[in-house]
Amino acid sequence: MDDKKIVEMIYENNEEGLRAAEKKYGGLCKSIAENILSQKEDREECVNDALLALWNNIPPEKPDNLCAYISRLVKNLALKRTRSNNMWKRRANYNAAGEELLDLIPDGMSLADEYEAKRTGEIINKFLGTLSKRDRDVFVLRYWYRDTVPEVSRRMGLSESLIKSLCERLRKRLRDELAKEGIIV
Amino acid sequence: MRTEVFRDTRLLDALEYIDDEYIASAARYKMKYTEETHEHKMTWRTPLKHSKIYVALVASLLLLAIASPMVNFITYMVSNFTAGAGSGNTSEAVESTNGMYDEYILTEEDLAELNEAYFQEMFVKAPDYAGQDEAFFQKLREEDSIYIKFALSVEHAMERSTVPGRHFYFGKYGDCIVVAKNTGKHSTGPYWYREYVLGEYTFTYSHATMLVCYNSTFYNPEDAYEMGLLSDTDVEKMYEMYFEYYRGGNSNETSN
Repeated sequence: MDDKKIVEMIYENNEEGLRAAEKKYGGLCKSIAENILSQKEDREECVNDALLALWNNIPPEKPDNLCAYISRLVKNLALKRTRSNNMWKRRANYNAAGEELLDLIPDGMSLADEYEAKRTGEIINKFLGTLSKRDRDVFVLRYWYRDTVPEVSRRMGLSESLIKSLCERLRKRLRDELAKEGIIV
Repeated sequence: MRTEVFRDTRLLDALEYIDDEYIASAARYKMKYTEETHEHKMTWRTPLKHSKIYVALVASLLLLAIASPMVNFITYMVSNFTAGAGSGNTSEAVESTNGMYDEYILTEEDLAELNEAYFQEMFVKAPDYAGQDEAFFQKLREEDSIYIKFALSVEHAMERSTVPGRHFYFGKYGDCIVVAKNTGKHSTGPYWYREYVLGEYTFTYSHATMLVCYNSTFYNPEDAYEMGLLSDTDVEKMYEMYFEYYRGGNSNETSN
């Protein structure tokens, strides 16, 4: 079913819309939760919570991009659950993906408040806009969805070594961009 | 609390501001893969395909085939059965190299036809060498659409080939040279090479990996860069070409 139609149905409190969203994006939601939460029960609850949030948020919200909207919902809920469970470091791959990016900004840099995060986000966005679609998808799969290198490799049909090399090169380019914008020196 | 827990995750916070469009674009790969994995699990061929006994049996038959033309027919039948009759094989190839295969959906008839062509070329004409049979390559160039499909079928058939390290030279199209190489590993299958000459170096592209061939030795681009064989620009250019190939260069080749 078309995303627009799904949103319309949920907007009109039609439960079929929610079922359609679950059918279409349930697998994706589960996959996002798996990258963050180690416990199966937590993942299932997280996906259910995301669907409930979708139902509660629409209306008044009316997302233009349902796929991104539901992805963000699941990710945020999974992170929230992780924080509250204090299990941040349990998922090795989640941590590994994060650490690769963390290397770009040395310790002691100030980027804590929302304003700076948003500004940096805009630079990242601009950077992503300069990439080819494939490079951008690799970057987003690896660093936003936190897929492992083998997972990205399987999804994209490219070798693991290529994904590793590509990620390394993209990080280097991002580091250069951040340096150019004065985020890092 | 946020600062404590995410003390070292500042850039990750910033990532949350990326465009919806980018998130949705990458999501398509996640959704597609989840569906394909599910479908793959539903087929009964999966356990059989990965059975060591099965691989050993096919490998033995193919070894015999190479040693004796008398057994060629049996090998052909086995090859046809395993590569041609199995729709699971088709979907697996699409899944494993979807960047390359997205534009070519092979039917069962295609596979049967391709296996016949494969058999003819591999065992009857036996062009399994890097010799420059110009007439053969010219023929391939003239029949480029068939040639490309034929090259695609190699992956199915080569998985069941028998001589690790052996190269099978299938032809040349423009600056694109197609070589199948049996890696000797069932799980990885053969490489499918595309070579491109830049200055004194030959860059080799395959669906599985990209290598630089220099003085008959293969290096990955990063190693070649570390060794001073390639400049940063060269490596950049290689990747650009590599992805250009996936983005649609291959489909242009068929129409040229």
